[in-house]
Amino acid sequence: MNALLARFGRKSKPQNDDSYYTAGQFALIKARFKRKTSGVVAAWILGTLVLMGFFAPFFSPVDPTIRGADADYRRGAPQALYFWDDNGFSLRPFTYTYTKEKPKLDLSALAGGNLNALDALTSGGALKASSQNKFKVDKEQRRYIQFFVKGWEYSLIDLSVGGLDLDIRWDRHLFGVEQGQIHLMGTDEDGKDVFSRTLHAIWVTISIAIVALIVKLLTSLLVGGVSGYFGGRVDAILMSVTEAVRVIPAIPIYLACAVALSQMDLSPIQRYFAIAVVIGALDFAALGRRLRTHILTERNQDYVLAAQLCGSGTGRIIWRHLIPSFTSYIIVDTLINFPYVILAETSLSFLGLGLTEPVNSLGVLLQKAQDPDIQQNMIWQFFPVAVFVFLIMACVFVGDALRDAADPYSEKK
Amino acid sequence: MMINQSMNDKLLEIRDLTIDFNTDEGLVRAVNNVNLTVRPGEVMGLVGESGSGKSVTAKTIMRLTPGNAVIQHPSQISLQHENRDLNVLKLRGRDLRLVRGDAVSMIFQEPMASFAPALRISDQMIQTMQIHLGYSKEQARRRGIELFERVGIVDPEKRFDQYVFELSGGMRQRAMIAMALSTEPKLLIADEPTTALDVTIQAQVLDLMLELREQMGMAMIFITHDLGVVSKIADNVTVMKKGEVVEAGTAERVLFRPEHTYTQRLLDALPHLEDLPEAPKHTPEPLLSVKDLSITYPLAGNGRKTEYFTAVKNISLDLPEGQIIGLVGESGSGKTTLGKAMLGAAPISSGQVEYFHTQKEVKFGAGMKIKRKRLAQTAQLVFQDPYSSLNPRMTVRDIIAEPLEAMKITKTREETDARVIEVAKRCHIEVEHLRRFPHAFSGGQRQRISIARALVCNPKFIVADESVAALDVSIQAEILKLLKELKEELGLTILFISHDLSVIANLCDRVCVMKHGEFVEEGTVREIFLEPKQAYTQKLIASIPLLEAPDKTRLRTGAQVAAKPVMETL
Repeated sequence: MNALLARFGRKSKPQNDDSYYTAGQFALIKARFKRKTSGVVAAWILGTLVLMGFFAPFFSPVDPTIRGADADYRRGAPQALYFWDDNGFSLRPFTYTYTKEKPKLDLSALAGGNLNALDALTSGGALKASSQNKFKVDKEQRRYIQFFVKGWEYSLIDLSVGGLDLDIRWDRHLFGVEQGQIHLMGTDEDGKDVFSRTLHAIWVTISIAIVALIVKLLTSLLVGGVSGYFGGRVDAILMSVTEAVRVIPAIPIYLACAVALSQMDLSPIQRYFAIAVVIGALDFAALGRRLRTHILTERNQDYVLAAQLCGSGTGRIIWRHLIPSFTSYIIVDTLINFPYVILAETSLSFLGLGLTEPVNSLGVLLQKAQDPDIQQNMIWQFFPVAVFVFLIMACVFVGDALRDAADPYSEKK
Repeated sequence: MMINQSMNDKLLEIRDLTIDFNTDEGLVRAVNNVNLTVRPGEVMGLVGESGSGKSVTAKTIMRLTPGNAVIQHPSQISLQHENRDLNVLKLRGRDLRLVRGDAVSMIFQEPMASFAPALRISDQMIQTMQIHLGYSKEQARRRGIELFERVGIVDPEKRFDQYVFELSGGMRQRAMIAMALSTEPKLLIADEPTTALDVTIQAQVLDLMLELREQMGMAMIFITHDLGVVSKIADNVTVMKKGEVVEAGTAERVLFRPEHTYTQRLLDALPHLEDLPEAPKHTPEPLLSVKDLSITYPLAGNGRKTEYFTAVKNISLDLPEGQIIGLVGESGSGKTTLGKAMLGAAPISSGQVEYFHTQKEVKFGAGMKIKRKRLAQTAQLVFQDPYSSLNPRMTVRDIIAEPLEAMKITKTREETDARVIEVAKRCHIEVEHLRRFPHAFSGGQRQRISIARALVCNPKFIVADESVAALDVSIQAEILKLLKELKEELGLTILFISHDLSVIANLCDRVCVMKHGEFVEEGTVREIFLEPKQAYTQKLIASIPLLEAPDKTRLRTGAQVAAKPVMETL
């Protein structure tokens, strides 16, 4: 028994902690995941972004649609928050009141038909976009940040199904200012708040990714599962089709689909779901093939034979033994693929074939950032780019750490 | 602590070697304060179970420890090379070649895995010699073929240019030995060189190594867990357990006058030919009868023509109830296929299997549908590999309860739990451990779980397919004891499939010998081990490495001489 215990100790924790022994698959994955700091940090960032995206109306101080556009603060720069200034210190952060400077255009000179005056006007820079969004900061008029302010009404969680009315509506927002609006990341040319738009865009993009991944997962499970389970001729045919789909480059297909979709009369929402389905359905090849391989190897494991000899039927073997063996695998693969699906949506929107203004999606906002006007005069509209980079990096790091942690049983083989 | 410390000509000296492994579960000590001395020309047998640190020690000599190994401070390894002492642990860069081929070389356990599969053996050997000895290509080639001839490979010129998969198991290990010898090392480390081989080939390889050692006079560290093998080849023996040296001394002293209980336990696991179990007085009624059974597997065919491989040819066999029947044969003899066929897990091409004295008729064969549930309640399998045969995602309770739940034998959860607990107790599994997952258990404990799962639906017959092959000797003994207990208490009939004759000798009542899918011989353990009739059986029995007296007279003289010295020590 001593020798037994010795081996026992070597393979497990030195301390006699029963939690390790009774830990299931997911507990083991979690424990291994936690050891990778980059993954944990990324998971927190990802979690925060997703949460902020999901409750975007609550976190955003301004209505991101045209209704909430600030007509007095178009093309406005980000408004910084201060704790102190010349007038003293305040625990409550504040910002100032901004008023738009009227462009000083002396149009009277033009009245006389003086061409020189017109020349001077056009070359003088007064008409340039950059000179039109000059704002005067009134340092004497502080606008204090308020929390849980009343604002536009939004639906927090919409659970209405059919006739049921379960739409939970609220009008409180995490923060705001006493009078007027606060634009943490400035506004765009319509006066829409960039910060609020970005928050709303996160959820739109993520939900497309989720829909795309679900469609992709179903397709891959169907193709890979059927292929791996039946093998033989079915496998050969399905895998040839998969390979055929795989060799077609993705972007042209997306383009073709987008063009086809634009022929149909769809609302922006329907359109984006259609795109998600297209992205998902065409991307099944890699995952499908991997699932097939996984099923093929897993089917030949001794424990499956053991289950057969125990008298388990096919259904029981699939349900109790095979499916649990690839749930962790599927979760990891899905997370690793998350950024790629987001990228697909973004690149479609970026090319102008996916979602378009005024829908808030990261792709749309990124597409806007192409505009030279924004690049020169409204650099704050690159904020969604930064958020996008963070989101993708967080996904990649979480996926990476999860992949290392995913198969808690690999080392024992 | 070593013998002859006064002698100055030490080839290798290991002092206070301590190695930790940096693992998920923190620092784990693999080697603790090990001292070892090897003199020129000496064969040192390094004995221990898996995890005892013997392989790690050997690999440290060649500086091949894995990346997560931490060699702790006072450790010292010095190697006598060209009349000066080398500090092995301080070697860097190119100097490492001194211990990786120049003065020290290694024979690995699994030759198939240690040769590069995509390179010809010739290329690998020539390159080695070019690097270490500075030979030209032609010179290296001539030398390589010479070595191939020396290690007894027939047709060396042709074999030299082949790939490793084209050679048979014995040939591969010979080629591995030739490669290890190609740089003319002073110290040869053989890490379980015969463990993966069949007994008859093991005997050949051991003879070859003895011969080479006498001819070339190099020192050798021979790592193994089999004391029979050690007694054949080693001058001195060091026994390791849990990273520590528990006993060291001359082979004669350690093997015949062991001081440590652990060494004794290892010795007990060897077959005692003079102490074989009595054959039962009468042969009971057969429980199961196999008639003209043949099993063929389709090989990968090209086009419409499919070739078939016959794994089992026309075997008829009756298994007497309540006995443990051993099924012996070398790898590829079809013994596992036969065992699986009895459980309906192999495609039967002709013949049939019939069980007697069952509640409902259990009979199947070519063209007959297997009634899976009836069969599963009559016969069960205990697998070879305790790691892959348990679903890692289910708790021990669920694994053991699987047959009950799958076949709906029990009606309520309470009934299932009661039955599971009963069986777990019988197999010496602690009840609190039932909610753990398999990863919390060692190989021996996992095998108990596997046995418990097989027993939970009260079968009459169990096929144990190499069920202790993956386990260490002392754990093997515990599992074998459990099987014997179960036979006595439950009246189980067990078909024990193994290539390890010592296990069979210690456990079984009757033995069947198979070769190339055919029956060779069948009889009681005494008949087979002491008076084998067929030439093949005789060869097989003669190949078992038994303890050998220091004067190297073989003690395996079977019935004629009762090996006195062995008797005394055991």
